[in-house]
Amino acid sequence: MKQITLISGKNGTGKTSLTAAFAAMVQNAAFADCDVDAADLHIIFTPNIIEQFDFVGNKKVVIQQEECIRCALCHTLCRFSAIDHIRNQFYVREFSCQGCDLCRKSCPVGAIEQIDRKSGDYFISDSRFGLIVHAQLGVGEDFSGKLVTLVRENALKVANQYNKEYIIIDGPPGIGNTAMSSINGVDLALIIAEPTQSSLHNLKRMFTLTTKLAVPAAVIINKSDLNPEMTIEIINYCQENKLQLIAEVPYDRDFTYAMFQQKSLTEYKPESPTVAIIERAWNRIQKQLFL
Amino acid sequence: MKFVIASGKGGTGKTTVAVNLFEALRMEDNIQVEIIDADVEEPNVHLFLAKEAADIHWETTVVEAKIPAINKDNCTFCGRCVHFCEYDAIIMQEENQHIEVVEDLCTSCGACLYACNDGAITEEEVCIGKLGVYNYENKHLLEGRLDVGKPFAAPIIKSLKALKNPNRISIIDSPPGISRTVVEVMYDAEFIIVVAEPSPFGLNDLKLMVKTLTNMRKDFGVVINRSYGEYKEVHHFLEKKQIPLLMEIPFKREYAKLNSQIELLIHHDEDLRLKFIALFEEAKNIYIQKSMYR
Ligand code: SF4
Ligand code: SF4
Ligand code: SF4
Ligand code: SF4
Repeated sequence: MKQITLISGKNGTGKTSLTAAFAAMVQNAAFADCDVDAADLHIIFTPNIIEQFDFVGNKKVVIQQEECIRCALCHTLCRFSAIDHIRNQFYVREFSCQGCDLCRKSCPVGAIEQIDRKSGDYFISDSRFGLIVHAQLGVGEDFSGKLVTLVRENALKVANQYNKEYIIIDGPPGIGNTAMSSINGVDLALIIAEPTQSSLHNLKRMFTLTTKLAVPAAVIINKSDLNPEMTIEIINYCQENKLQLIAEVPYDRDFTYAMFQQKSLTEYKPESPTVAIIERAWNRIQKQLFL
Repeated sequence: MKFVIASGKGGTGKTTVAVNLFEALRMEDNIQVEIIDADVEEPNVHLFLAKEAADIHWETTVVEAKIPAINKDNCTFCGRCVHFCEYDAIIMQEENQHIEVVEDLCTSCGACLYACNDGAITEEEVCIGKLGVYNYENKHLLEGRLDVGKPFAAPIIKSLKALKNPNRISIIDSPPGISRTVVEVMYDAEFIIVVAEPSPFGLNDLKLMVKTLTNMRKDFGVVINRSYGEYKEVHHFLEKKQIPLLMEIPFKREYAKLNSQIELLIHHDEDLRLKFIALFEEAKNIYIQKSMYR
C-alpha cells in the first residue's frame, strides 16, 4: 500500500480541492484529512460518520484551593508562566499550560490535580469516494501532531482491513509539528506550490523538511498561468534540485464553483481540460510511486 | 493598541490585509505604526515590505530554548526523569546503559531537571528560531521565525511580544487557525480582524474562529476577501450573529497578479488605501465603544 500526502507551505494553494479532484478519480483508496487545525475536506466528502472517538491531547492541571498552602513553588517552577496569582490565590492559566505536570508532581501538599480533557474528536467515516478518517481539534488546543498520528494510524488500519491500494492524505500547511507527522514515512509528499515569490520561498522550506525526513517529494504548480515568469522560476528550482514536477494546473474558477456545490472538480465538470491535466498528474504519480 | 489579523485558515489573504493595512496607515502623517509578523512558521511579511528597500536594515537575534543534556557518568539509570517527562522525550535503556533526549519532542519544561536527584542533568541553550527587526525610514517590522522542524513556537511569540513598541499601533499577522500559538498571539490584543473567504471552506473556518474569539471575549470584525458576489452565506452568517463586516475586497485578477508579484495593492489603488484607513477607524471605534461598557 502506498501513502501520499498533499502538503503546501501555506494554505490557499488549492491542496484540498486537488485532493478532492484526485479522490473522485482514484479507485481503491482510503483518505485521511490531517489538516486537523482547519479540516475542510469533509465539506466536499460529505461523509457519514461510522465511528467517533474522543481525542485527549495533553492533560490539564487544576489547583484545589482548599488544599493549597500558597507556597508558590508551582509558580516558580512552571516554565510557561501558566501559574498566576490574584489576591494570594494561585490558579492555572489554561491556554498557557502545556500540561507538563511538573507543578503537580512537585506540589508539597498534593494540592494539584491532573485531569483528562477532551481536546478534539476524530472520526472514521464512509463517503462516496471511500473511507475517510478525519478530525476536529478543539479551540486553542495544541499537540495536534498527536491527533494527526491518530488519524493516520486509523487510516492505515481501515486501509489494511479493506485492502486499499492507496491512502491519500490532505496534509496541513507549513513545516511544523503537524506537517512532520503527516509526511513522516509516506511514499510521496506532493508539494502544492503557486507561482508567487512567497510560495517559492515556502517550497524551499518544505523541501528542507522532506529531505530532513527522507521522504520522496514531487511538485504540482497550481494556478500556474497567473504568473508565468514565476512558474518558470519554480520549474527551474525543481530541476536544479531534482524535484519531479508532476503537473502545472492552470487557474480555474470551476474549482470554486465545484466547492460551492460541495463537489470535486472531477464530478462538477468531468469534461474540463483541468480534469484531464489532473488525470495525467495522477498517472505520473503512480509511475513515481512504483518506480 | 494591538490589532491582530487572523484567519481560520491560511490562504485567505491574511498577510495581504496585514501588509496593506500597515502600509496604508504608515502613509498617514499622524499615525505611528509597526507591523509584527507572528506567523512564525512561514513569516512572509518581509517579502512585501523589504522589497522596496534593498538596503533595509535587519538585525536578528537568536531565540533559544533550554534542552536537557544528560551526563551518563553521573546517571544511575533510576528512570525518574523518564517518568517525569510527559512528552516521551527521554529514551532510556537500562540494560544498554543508554539514555538520550529527543530534541524534537522536548518542550523545555524542566521537569526532568527537577526530577534528577543525582545531578546528571544540566541544560543547554539550543537555538529554535530567530527574531528579526527591520527599521528602514519609518517602516518598522518585527518578525519571528521558527527553525524548520522545531515543534514549539511559544518562546518565539513571547520574545516577539517583548520587542513591541507600546507607543505604536501594532498590526500583527497571526499564524492561521485556532491553535494554542494563535491564542497566545491574540491573548492581549485589543482587536482582532478576521479575514475570511466567501466559500463553504471559508465559512467553516470562520465559524471555528468566531467560536474561539467569543470564548476569549475578544472584540472582532471580519474582512471578506476575494469576494465574487456569488456566495452569500458568509454575509448571512455575519448578519445573523451581528458581527461587523469591516470591509469587502473584491476578487480582481489584477489584485491576484499584484499579490503574486509581491506588490502592495494600495500602491496601485488609492481608493483601496482609503478603504483600509476606514477599516482601521471602524475597528478602533468598535473597540472604544465596547470598552466603555466594560
Ligand atoms: S505548589 Fe501546591 S501548595 Fe504550593 S502554591 Fe502551588 S498548588 Fe499551592
Ligand atoms: S502542568 Fe506544567 S505548564 Fe501546566 S501549569 Fe503545571 S507546570 Fe505549568
Ligand atoms: S525538559 Fe521536559 S520535555 Fe524536555 S526532556 Fe525534560 S521533561 Fe521532557
Ligand atoms: S533522573 Fe537522573 S539519574 Fe535518573 S535516569 Fe534520569 S538522568 Fe539518570
